[in-house]
Amino acid sequence: MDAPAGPNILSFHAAIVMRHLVACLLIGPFAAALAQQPIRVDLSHEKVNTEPTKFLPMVGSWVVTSEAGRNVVLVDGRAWKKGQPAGGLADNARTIYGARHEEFIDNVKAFAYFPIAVARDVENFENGEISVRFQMIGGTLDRCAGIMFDLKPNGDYLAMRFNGTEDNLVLWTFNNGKRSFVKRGSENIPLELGTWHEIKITVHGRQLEGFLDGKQLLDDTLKAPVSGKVGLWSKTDSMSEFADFIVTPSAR
Amino acid sequence: MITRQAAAASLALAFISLSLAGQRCASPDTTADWFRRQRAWLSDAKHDWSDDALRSALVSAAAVDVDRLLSAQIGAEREGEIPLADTAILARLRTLAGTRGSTWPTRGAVGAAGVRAVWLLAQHDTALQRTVLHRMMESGPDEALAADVAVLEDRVRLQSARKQLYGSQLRVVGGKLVPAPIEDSSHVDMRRDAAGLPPLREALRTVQCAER
Repeated sequence: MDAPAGPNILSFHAAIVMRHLVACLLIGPFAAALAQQPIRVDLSHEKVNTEPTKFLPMVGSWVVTSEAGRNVVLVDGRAWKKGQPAGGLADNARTIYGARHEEFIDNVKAFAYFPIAVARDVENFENGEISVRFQMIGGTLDRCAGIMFDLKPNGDYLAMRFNGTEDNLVLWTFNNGKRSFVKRGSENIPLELGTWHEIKITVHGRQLEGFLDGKQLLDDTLKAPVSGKVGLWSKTDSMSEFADFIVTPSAR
Repeated sequence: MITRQAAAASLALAFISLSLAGQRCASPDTTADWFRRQRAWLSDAKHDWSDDALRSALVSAAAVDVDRLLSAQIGAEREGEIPLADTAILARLRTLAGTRGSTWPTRGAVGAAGVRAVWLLAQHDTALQRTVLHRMMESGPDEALAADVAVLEDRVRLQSARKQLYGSQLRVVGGKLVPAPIEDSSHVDMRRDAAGLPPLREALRTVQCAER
């Protein structure tokens, strides 16, 4: 009769576990370091009172402005008009999508109520974290600020936004010219105008979390993994400023 | 007839030139962009509203004189309670406000005078004001005058013990009319500009002058 296999099998498994543990301890930090190089959109060299070059405006009026001595991006809803995309839409769409820009333009025009500006230097975002600081300044109809992500070449995208007229954080999808509600944050949080706050999303595969000022308010399982460009989002006549847009990609 | 409301509105909306103690009060700049935008919005010259019966009921209840040009909104008025006027039209507005999916009296439905009448009537009911504000914000700049929306939002915020955003609500402090506390006051004129209102200083000058 063969000797009982139990202890040997256990030892074998223990050895594998140990090997993995050691590998993780040794390689993990290096892998993490490689995967988590944050991309910080630097506005310091942008020209004040001109359109940002680091964020390509697709819809709405976007301008670099100086706030307490540093450059920030202002979406200026005073210039908002129904159905009017940004002046440089065609050029900017060509910059990010090349030959496929026409489909993008058609779809974006359907969302002309929602100013967006694409982060030029973020090629593709799938997993990780995106954060941005914002302050609402005004808007008679809306006072919104948000993160756009999963932007596809056909103009579809997702947006996690705060609305100062509703005091809530909400996830929206924009597909084929139609905006659809996905999920609302777990609590309403009134924010004062003229004060800085932070929206953050984390994405791991189809798992999405939304944060306001570090507090997790929303989680959702998306229909599909995220993959696309990212940027800033606003609504109709909102006037909001954005700063410290940081994308920290990670392995899934 | 809503006499006190009419008085408050006429104070807020008055365009007057007064000569007091040798000093001529300045009228608002009628060539300014905000004024021309409001004028265009407030004109009912095209007669393109769809619900004439509702419009008539509204303007009659709010005592809006449709034979005269509607006054532009300068966004500065004396803060205060307006006595409740429980009229049939107010009850109708409450029903409309409380009915999901109901057709709200927008500019397309009742014209600029009708929308202004709703705005005036809403001052008589705190709960209704909130709904009217929400409906006006929802209906967009073509259907509700942004300047009226701004003033209404200031009223609603002060009633909720929040600071106002546009500086339109004035109170007497030390014998002088001054704006009630403003949230993010450094951007107040930017917000007023967005809402199609004159700069706060200019509006204050007009109202303070009219009060003398």
